[in-house]
Amino acid sequence: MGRGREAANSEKAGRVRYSADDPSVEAPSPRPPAVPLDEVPATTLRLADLEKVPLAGEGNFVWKIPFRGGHAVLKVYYGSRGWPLYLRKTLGNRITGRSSHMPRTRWRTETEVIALWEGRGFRCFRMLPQVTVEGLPREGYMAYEWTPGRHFREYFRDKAVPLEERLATWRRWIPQWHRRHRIAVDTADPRWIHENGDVKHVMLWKGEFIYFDFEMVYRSRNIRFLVGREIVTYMRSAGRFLGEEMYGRMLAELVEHYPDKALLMAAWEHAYADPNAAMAAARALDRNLRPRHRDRWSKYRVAREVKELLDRASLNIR
Amino acid sequence: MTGPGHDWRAAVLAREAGRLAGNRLWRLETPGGPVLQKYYCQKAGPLRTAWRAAWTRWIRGATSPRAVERWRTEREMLALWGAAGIAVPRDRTAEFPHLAGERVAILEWIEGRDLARLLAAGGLPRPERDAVLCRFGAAWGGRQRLAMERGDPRFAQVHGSLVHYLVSGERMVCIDHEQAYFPGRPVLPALAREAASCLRSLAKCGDPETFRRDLAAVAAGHPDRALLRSLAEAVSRLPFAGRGKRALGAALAEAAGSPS
Repeated sequence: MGRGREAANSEKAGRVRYSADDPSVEAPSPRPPAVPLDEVPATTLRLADLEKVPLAGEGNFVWKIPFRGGHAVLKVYYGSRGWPLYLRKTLGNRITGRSSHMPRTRWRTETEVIALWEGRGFRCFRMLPQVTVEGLPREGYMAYEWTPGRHFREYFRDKAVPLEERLATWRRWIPQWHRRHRIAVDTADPRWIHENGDVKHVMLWKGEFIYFDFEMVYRSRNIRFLVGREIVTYMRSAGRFLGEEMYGRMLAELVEHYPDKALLMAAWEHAYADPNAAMAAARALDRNLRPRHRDRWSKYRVAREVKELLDRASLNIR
Repeated sequence: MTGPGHDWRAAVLAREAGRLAGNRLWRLETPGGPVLQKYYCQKAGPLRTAWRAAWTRWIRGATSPRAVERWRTEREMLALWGAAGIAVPRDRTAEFPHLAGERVAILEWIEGRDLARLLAAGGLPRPERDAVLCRFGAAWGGRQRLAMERGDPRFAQVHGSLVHYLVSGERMVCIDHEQAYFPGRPVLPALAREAASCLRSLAKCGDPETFRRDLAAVAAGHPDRALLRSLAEAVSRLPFAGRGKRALGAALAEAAGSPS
């Protein structure tokens, strides 16, 4: 997405050119998404010779492999699923407004998104495209730098880390999260939304936040709603994995420190206030009829909780 | 819809929650100090909004109450009034592009209290109360005179009320410019409508005797007695003016005639 398109979208949005560049947020400098050749020279590996430690459950094959005296991650997009399932999931994705589930598309999407995010200073797993694996189609796998960080899911429930320190980390992350959301809104590019974003897919490593798992992206251009959806997904996963108390604290911190409260309200709007009457009706049926939305960590309930706190912070509502 | 208590009441509530039903205002902390983020939201459902938009446009001659229109109008009015030297919050949207957007404006944060609450609280001694009301009268009258001189009803406030004046030190800042009268419409009736709303809101700030004295203080600060008398007459002649409005007009006429 070029700057020209960005400007055009911004113009359309409000006749004023908006930008995500918040001078108060220190943005990490961009870096190449791939490890340069002078750091890691071209290498060819034989799959059969590798000592593989599985890292992920279903779908793709994700292995930790020995590499140049250390480790690397090898992700093979042609995983354990058969073609009928890929086709079925692709059809499902089409209906729900996501990119294709086919292995090559997932490979392309992931590598594109990593390049995009790294280009604006968001740290992802660095790619090692110079690593070739014999016997695999070139657009079917990618080696990544080994990044032994701590997942948010583990870090935030680790009682060995003082609570104040964990909350300080959360507060440090919130402006970066908002910065990405603003870029998404300003560029109208759904690739800035973490489709599989939750506390399992962000890591803390060497003081930086590392994002991963970008195999699919949304296709909708209603970016505000996608932002809202991502916020709810992260907070639901925080509730589910970290428990009620930690969730409550994190939500309160989110509402207090998320720089753009109006954009945060999109969390509620995407669930309750769709301007498309057909979608609004579908949502109403969904939240009222589906038993899974009676769950404590239903997206609708989390969305309402975000709104309640935002309303309490609003000067004309409380 | 969640929890074991899920029933039709909860379903109705969830449905009712389908819109924000009013603007949201947040104080945001920035390195340059606090600012106000105003998020313009639809106040009613689509049918009611359409009806109100038609009524406002064709009967009142004012801009639409739709959220997007209110967002645009307010920023235009702040620029217009600010350029004319009227105390209004500064539009800082261009300074904070990362916090603004569609239906979101960033405005100057004004530390202060609204005039209606300040007066209704009753804590001000009479000389201070008179001084504040005199300042209000001067600001209000100055703007009315400007509107008449320029023949521009956009200088009349559609939602006139003392709630929309912030007393901030010596400043008397006029807020809430989401709707405006269309240029080219008659000025005096627009000013009279605003005056009626302001007088009604002033009358609620105390007993009748307090109202009479408050109004005298406002008139004392007003820079143009002749205009004030015309306004008093126009208030009484407003379409559908009932006893209440006629009484307010008479009170204003009495105050306008009183020695400053």
